[in-house]
This record gives sequence, C-alpha cells and structure tokens, in this order.
Amino acid sequence: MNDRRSLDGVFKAIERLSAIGVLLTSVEMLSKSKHFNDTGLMSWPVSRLYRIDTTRGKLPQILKPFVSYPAINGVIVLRLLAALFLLTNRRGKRARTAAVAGIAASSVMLSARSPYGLDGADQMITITFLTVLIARLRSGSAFVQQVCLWFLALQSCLSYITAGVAKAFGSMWSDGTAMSGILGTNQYGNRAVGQFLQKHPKLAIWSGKGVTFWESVFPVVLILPRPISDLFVWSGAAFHLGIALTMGLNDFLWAFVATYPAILFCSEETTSVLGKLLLLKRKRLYSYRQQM
Amino acid sequence: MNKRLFCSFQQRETSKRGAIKPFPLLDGIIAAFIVVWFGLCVATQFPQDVFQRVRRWDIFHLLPRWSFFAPRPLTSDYHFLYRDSLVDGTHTDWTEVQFSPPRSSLLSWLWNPEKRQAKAFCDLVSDLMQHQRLHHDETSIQLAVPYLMLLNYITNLPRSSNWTHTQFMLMTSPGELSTEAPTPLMLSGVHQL
Repeated sequence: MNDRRSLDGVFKAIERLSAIGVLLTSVEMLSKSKHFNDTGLMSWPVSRLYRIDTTRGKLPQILKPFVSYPAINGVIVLRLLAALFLLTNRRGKRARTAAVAGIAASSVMLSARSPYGLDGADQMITITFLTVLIARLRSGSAFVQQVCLWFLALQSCLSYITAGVAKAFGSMWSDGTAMSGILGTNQYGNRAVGQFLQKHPKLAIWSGKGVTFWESVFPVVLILPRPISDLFVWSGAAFHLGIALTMGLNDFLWAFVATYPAILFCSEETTSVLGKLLLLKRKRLYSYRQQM
Repeated sequence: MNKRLFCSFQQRETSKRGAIKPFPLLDGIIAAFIVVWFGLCVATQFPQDVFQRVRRWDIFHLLPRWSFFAPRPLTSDYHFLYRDSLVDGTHTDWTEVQFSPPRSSLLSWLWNPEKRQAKAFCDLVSDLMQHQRLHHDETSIQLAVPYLMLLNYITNLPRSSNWTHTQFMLMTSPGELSTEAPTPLMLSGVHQL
C-alpha cells in the first residue's frame, strides 16, 4: 500500500471526487452571480468590512483584483475549468498540480471574500485542495503524502464525531423535534418528508438518535478491517445522498465523500499494523510455550 | 518490530552508495505544520471562548466548526420584507424578498443554486440577532456589517415607482408545515436615499 503508485491513486480519487463538487458549485455560483456584485447579498465592498484584515492594510489590495465584481466570475470560471481538467485528464503531473493549486487558491479567495453563504462543504473543499496541493508539491516524499492522507482522514472523522457529540448534547435530537423541525423549514426542508416525520414521531425520534449515534461512532472506521470499513464509508455516502435529496445540500455529498479514499487508506494502514502486532504477539506466545 | 511497518512512516531514502540519508528537514516542517493545523481544528470544536479566540486570525476559514445543526438546529424560517416611502408621503405595502423558493426534491441533490444566497441570508440574520442581543443602541446595530449588507441589498433592488425612503423588517416563522403566523424579529430604521 505504501508504494508511490498507490498513494498517487488515492490522491487522484480524492481530486476527482472533490472536483465534481467544485464543478457543481462553480456552475451554481455562476448561475446566481448577481449575488456577488456590489449591490448583491454577498457584495465585496460591504462584506469586507466584517474583518479588520480585509478592511485595511495590504490584504484587501491583494484580494481586490480577484474577488471584486466581475473579476470573481473569472476566478469561478477558472476554478470550473481546473475541476474539469482534473476530471478528464489522467496524466500530466505538473498540469494536475497547477489545477489543484488553482482550485485551492480560488477556495481561499472565496473564503476570505465573505463569511456569509459559506458552508461546511466549502470549508472541506478548501481543506482538501490545500492538503492535496501540499502532497502534490512534495510528491517525492511518501512520508509527506501519508501525513496529508492521515490529516484528511482525521479531519473527516473529526467532522462526524463533533457533529455527533454536539447532537448528543441537544435534547431536540433525542425527542425527535430536530429532524421534523429542520425538514419543516423552507430553507432545508422537504414538505413530504417533514409531514411524514410529523405523522410518525417515533420514526423522527429514532432517526434523530440514529444520526447522532452513527456520526459519533464514525471514527471507528479507522480501525475496522475491509470489507467492514467499505460498508462504513458506503453508509456515509448513502447518508450524504439522503441529505442531498431531502435537504438540498448537494455539495456536502462530494466534499465529504471525497475524503473517503483517505479514510480507506488509513484504515488499511491501521488494520495492517494491528494485524502484524497481533501476529507478533501470537508468535511470541507460541515460542514461549515451546520453551516451557 | 517489523521493519517494513516502520518504513511506512519513517521514509528513509538511501543514496547511490547505500548510506541512509538524513530525514529531510522540509518534510519535518510540513508534518509539524499539518499537526499544528489539525490540533487547532480539534481545539476550535470546543465552544469555550479560550478556543474560539483563535478564530480571530482565521481569515481564510481554515478552522471549521463541524457541529452541523447541533446542539439546537434552526427549525424556523427567516423572512426579509421591505417597504418604501413614496414622494407623495404614502408607503408601499410590505414586499417579501424570497431567497429560497420551494425546491424540487427530485433535482435538488444535483442542482440547488439557491442554497448559497439562502445560507448567506440566514447567516446575516443570525449574526444581526446576536449583535442585537449584545448591543442595544440603534446606532451600533445600524453600523453592524450584516445590517449594512441587508440595507445595501434592499436599496439596490429595482423599483418601478418614485421613492424617497426605505425600511426593512426581519420576521421568523416556524417552518412551512406550521400554521403559526410569522413574528417580527427586527424593524430597521427608515433610510433616505
């Protein structure tokens, strides 16, 4: 598992899955680009006042040519083209690194532009591409590549366990009102599912508890052998697909599923180490018994 | 301990002569950076002020808060309404700005461009409400960035009639499945144009 070719394969899988998310969100952003203009809901001249760093000093001057309107549309188009390149080209290490760098830079710019309108999927995409960029720039070092994969896997597990534990502290997640409440809103709701859960409160209670439990135990995947770890990540993909279908959070599907190749890589590493340790212990026990 | 097992973590490259090269310093620096980054990510998951203070320097949002919809999820909708004062001294009716029109659930897993502005609006209202809880004087609220962003948006909406002033109102309702009437959250000042 540690040879460079397989590490490269893991990074390519991460890049491609994330690139689908980037492609999707870029097209969506361009279709609603009026919100990025100076009079829109995510206007740069006003939103930059949110932070002192983007209000005065050198940073706003550096950012302005990229994040002001309509330049931001150009950045989004370049981001879209870079994602398309990652999806359609299998070779060309330098070009892939440039595409990854382009997406990482544009993600950072969009994050600095306005805190409003960003969600967890945007943050995961930014973290993923920055990490992949570090790994690509040090492609000669298997050590750095492994550290990057571990970082992504742990970051993903951190997101699930934090969400799970935080839900365990909220009474709404155990009495069923959270699920039916969220799905009853216009923003994240789904009239049919919301009404169904209101009519079946027990199902609402158990689905809330189920989500809390599943998210809390997700990091266990890192010590599970295959094919159980595969089943775990498939359940994750199904979970995000369900969220996309009911709540419309389509970008979370690609942003989080993209971290799964890293999770599977790390789970294989951990189980291999654990397996070898067990074997070593058994061998020692066997030789000890023979000496007796 | 198995040799191969360690080699997966401790990359030791051998030179042409076969001597073991020292561990590259750059790799150590990168690994240390990533470890610190992850440590900060873990720390900022805790709601205590001491951990949240780190976010002051997080311009690029590289320290996420992963507590999605927890512990108390948002189970209500926010509404954005505005009205104008006309040249003859009369007011227009309150008009609602829709940021998240009802979605087609079959397609939203693939195509949902409205989610970004809906999230932006939700974030702006949440921030403004928090600001209102902390600062009670009107001037401070009117200088808050979320307030200015909403005002900037509303004053630039295309209008057909002659108007001189505008005002906006934020309301909340307990979701589309409820029959309860929306309740006002905040009424803005009257702003001249």
